[in-house]
Parts: sequence; structure tokens; C-alpha cells
Amino acid sequence: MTREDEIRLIAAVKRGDGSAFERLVTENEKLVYSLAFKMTGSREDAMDLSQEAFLRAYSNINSFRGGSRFSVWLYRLTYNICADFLRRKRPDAVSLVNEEGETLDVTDDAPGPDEQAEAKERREAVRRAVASLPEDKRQVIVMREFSGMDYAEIAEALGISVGTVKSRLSRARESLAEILRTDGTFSDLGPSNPLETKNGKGGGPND
Amino acid sequence: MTECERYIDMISSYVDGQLSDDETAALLEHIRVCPDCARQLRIYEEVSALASEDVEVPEELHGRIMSAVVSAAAPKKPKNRKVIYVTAASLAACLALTFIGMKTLFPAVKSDASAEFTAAEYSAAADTASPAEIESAKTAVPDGGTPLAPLPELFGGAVAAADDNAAPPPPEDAEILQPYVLPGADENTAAGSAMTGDWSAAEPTLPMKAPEEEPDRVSDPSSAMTFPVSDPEGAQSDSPDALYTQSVEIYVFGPLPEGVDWDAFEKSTDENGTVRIVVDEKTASLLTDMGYSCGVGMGNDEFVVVQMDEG
Repeated sequence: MTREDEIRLIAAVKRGDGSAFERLVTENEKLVYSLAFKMTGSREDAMDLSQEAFLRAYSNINSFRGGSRFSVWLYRLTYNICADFLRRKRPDAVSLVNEEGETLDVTDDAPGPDEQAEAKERREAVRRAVASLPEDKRQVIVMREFSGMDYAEIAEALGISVGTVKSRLSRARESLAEILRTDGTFSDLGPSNPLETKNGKGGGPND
Repeated sequence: MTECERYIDMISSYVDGQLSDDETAALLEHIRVCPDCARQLRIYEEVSALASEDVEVPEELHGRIMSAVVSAAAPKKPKNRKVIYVTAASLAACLALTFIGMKTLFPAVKSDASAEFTAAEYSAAADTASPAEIESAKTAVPDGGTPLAPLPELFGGAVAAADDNAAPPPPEDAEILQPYVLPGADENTAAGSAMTGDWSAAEPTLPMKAPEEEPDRVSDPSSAMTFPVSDPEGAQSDSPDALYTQSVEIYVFGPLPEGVDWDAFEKSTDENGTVRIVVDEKTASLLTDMGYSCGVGMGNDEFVVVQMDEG
């Protein structure tokens, strides 16, 4: 959806055209849900938070002035809702680990191979580690790693320069790696041999 | 580590594919001789791989979001009127539960002894709201009695009421009926919460007339959990049952879908262009098949009892 499409739809929503809002939902629900799911690790929580995000977007559509793209505005709204949710849950963070693991099981209860279970465990460990990062680092990690936004998009969403995105992301990754090394999640990882990787992306070559 | 610190930002940028060829060559040269940085790169790559996994969006998400938005945008309901929106997939379960709701609404009402459902049978139906079991519940023969009428006939007055663009007027004794809210079905309660409630234990809270005033109603407390399940004629007649026709209220944003004779139904449009329509169950079913959200209620404009599961 182009920016012009978004502007046209939002103008229609402001005039009371519900079908225009439904198009915005269709266009953005995956982005919103994926963010909520990856931040909470729970299907039910992600559904509730997605619903909340769109409800707030609808209620506050008149405050959207078009300074950024709607998707970016909605993304930030969703992020804030999820961050608030995690903050409220933080006192239970210790016991949450198991509960969230069980919740994850609900989304994928098919017994899979060991590697699948292990990947799921590691994914959950990454989610917890990301959740424990300080806010400024968490923002960039969530946007880059969870939502796949590029540097320019992150810069737009956070109102910072691309250079700042780059350095903040590096600091955030360092912290994240430290947490995951300490908690034993990646204790078995060997060094990477990038000569065998493609474009510096993808899994490690030492598998 | 000073040399490694020079490369740490480059490792991050490398994972994102943001390095120039020269920078990449320099980093790889360092990685070759530095196991710490090689391990760091491996962790970054692993995190990226784990975090970027595609998330499957639940099918019901869209309906849930739109239902919430439509509810928020809908005009205020009259006092005591509660409508819970459902998606197409769960309409069948809704209808089954609306059916169940009759029991709770009219625990002491009995107008056709040959077509009674026991509380236990309704509880069973409530607990098993799959389409097949709903069908089974509709045609079950309790205690050797006559088969129950198919579900639409239970609400024999519904279509007529809709065709007349209005619910039948309440009979004179309508004032004895008070709004009744099912357990756990308040405005903000998640739909379906009462699904797990003990229906058979639900206390009837409707005021009941004394038997001498209502000779056609059951006065024996032991029969208090039986109620009419099939009385199309009664529903269309001037009996109290005519009150309890099923109404289905829908809200439509934008143009009305084709294929329905909209003139047959009562409708109003609010200032936002949201069209509110009261339709019959058959039309609601058609609309939900087309992807529209419907609220299913029972009662008249004074009250509606809704209990349904989001599926």
C-alpha cells in the first residue's frame, strides 16, 4: 500500500467509512500481531494486544496527522501497548517463563522433532532476553529483528538518524548476546565462519 | 580487545548486510583469526534467524479486531441490551447457545409437554457446541418424547417479526419479565466465559407468577428447569412466547451487500454511516457466510439475552 493509498483511506475513515478502516486492518494486522506475538510469546496475549492496538488506532484516528506513515504510527502504538503490557507483567517475570512456555505450546502443540523443540526454546529465550533489555536497546532490536525493518524505517519510527540506529543496534546486540551467553542459551554455539555464509546472513556454517 | 572493539559495530552491520565490500573483506580477515568475534557473529546470526521466524496469524484475528471496532463504533444500546459480536465461524455455536439461553430465561415456563428438554440435556448441548452436536441437540428425543423441532422453528416468530419490520408487541403480562443477564455475561466480560458455567445449577432469577395466575406455567419446583423448546404456533400467537423471538442485529459499514432484500428489514443509519439492521436468523447466517459480523440476541427491544462463544 502506497503512502497515498494510506492517506486516502485515513481520510475516508475520518469521514466515518468503516470499510476503509477494515482495509487498514487487513493491510496491517500481520505486522501488528507478529510484533505482539514476538514481544509476548503468547497467542492469546498477542490477539488481545492487537485488538487493543486497532481499537486505539480507530479511536485516535483524528490525532493521526500524516506526519509519518500510518503503518509506522500504528507500529509505534502497538509497540507501546506491548511494552506497557510487559511492564505490568514484570513482577511475575520469574514465574512467567514457564507459563509463557505453556502458552507457546498451545500455538504449536504438534509434537515435533527435538530440533524444533529446541528452536522453540531458544526463540523463547531470545524473547525473554529482548524483553529484559533497556527500552532504547529493546526498541531497535524489536524493530530490526522481530519486525525486519530496515535502518531507514527504524530511523523514521524513532525519529533518530540512521547512524544512531546503526550504533544503537550494535550496542543492543552486544547486550543481547551477553544475556544469552550468560543464561546458557548459546553456550554450545561455536564460532561462525562467515566465509561459508552468504551475504553475512542466515545460520552459522558450523552446524 | 581494542582491536575487537573496532570490529564489533561491523559485525552488527554485516548481519544486516550493510557493509561495503571493503569493510566486509576487512571484517572477514579479522574473524578468521579471532574466535571471540567469530562466536559473536554466530550469536548475532542465530538471534536473527530465530527472531525473524514468520508468525502465523490466527484466522479469527481479523473478525475479532473488526468486531471490537464495530462494537466501539456502534450506537449505544438501550439499557440492559447486550449484544456480543461473533464471527461467521462461530455463528452455529452462538445459535446453539441462544437456544440454551431460553432455559435460563424461562426456567419455569412450559407450554408443550411433548417437547421438553431437561436441564441436563441443555447443559450437554451447551458443552458441545460443535455443528454436528448442535444438529444432534436440535433433533434429540428426550425421554422418549417427540423429536424436537429444527432450530429455526424454535424461533418460529423470528422471521415473521423481521418481515413485519418489528418484534411483536409485548402482551399485557410482559411487565413480569425482567432483564436477565446470563452468568458472566456483563458488558466487558469476554464472550464465552459462561460457557464453562454450570448451566444446570443456574438459579432462575425471573419473577414468576403464581400458578393460579398462569395456569399454563409449571408450578412444580421439580419441573422448574423444563421449558418450551418448540412452539412455533405459540410463538406467532399472542402468548408470552411471542416475546422471545430471536433477533439478529448487524452493523454494516459501507455499502450493503447484494443478494438480500434489505427493504424487508428494519434499519437505521447513524451519523458515521454505520447501518444497523435487525434481520432474521437465516439472513444473518447468509451474511456471516459472506464474512460479516453479527450479534445474535434474543428478546425484544426491552431486553436481549446473549450468550455465545467466540469459537
